[in-house]
Amino acid sequence: MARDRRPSPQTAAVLRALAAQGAQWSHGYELCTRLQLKAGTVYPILIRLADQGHVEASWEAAPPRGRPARHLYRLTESGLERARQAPATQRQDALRSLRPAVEGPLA
Amino acid sequence: MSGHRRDFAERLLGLATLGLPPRRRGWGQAMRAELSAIESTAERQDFALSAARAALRQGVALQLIPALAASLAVAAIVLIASRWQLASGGPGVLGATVFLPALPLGVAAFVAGRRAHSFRFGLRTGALAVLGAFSALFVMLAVEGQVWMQRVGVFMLDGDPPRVPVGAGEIALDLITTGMWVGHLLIWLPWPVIGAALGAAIRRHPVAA
Repeated sequence: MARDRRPSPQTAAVLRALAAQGAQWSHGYELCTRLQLKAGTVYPILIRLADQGHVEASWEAAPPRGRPARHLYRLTESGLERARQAPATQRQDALRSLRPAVEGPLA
Repeated sequence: MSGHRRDFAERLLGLATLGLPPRRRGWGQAMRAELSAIESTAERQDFALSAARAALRQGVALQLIPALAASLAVAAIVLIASRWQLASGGPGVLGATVFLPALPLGVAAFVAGRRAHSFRFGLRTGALAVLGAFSALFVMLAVEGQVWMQRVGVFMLDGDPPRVPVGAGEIALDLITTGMWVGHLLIWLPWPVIGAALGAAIRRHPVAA
């Protein structure tokens, strides 16, 4: 039977971050720093999303000399659909709720 | 970074990704490649520690948890069989300790082989489970054997009385000195192989979006 679980806040954040990049590829560490999540959280999510066919992974074609090729990630069509369905993360919700209060006096 | 220096972070991540199942090795390589692009020592260590934890969960834990569960199941089988036979005046526990552990051993290898989609990974888990199960059997026989000798005056495995007075050490080593460990292993060993083969053969269906 097919499972259609609601993604965790972290998975939703990864989906949204990749969706924001569109067709552009992202690096794993770049995702970690952008989302302020640990590699131990982001990589299992990427692995699971790739297993589910939501993330496409590829190796860097021309890495700088002396450094191995890095893995690149972007969403597939089904991943984009999943990202659209993903709820906003608690962190995003919290930021959204803070923004008017922070922006208010400065505006 | 100048040249190729293997610092703590690189060594740690290299070690942690060693135990990854074959289908996850590319991810281990990806994490190591990502680490090589990080310059700051603190960030490298932070990345490596966190990624190593994830790699261990994907690799070592996938082997250790089924192997440990199988070992505990074997310990439970021996304990239950021992107390059951003692209560009913049965002729030892050999029948239970030889045949019943085959099931948890096969299941452990099956689970690991299926999750990793790898016969070799399942087999390695099965080997760990056999090692753990054998240790569990030995410890349980050593402990319960004393109870059998005190209560009914016979060896626990076959229910035979000793020909001459025996000490605690001889009771504890009954499995080894009688060579019965060979029979246990011969019956146990095919099951992890069968479990690993079945686990690797059954492919999980991809989860629908």
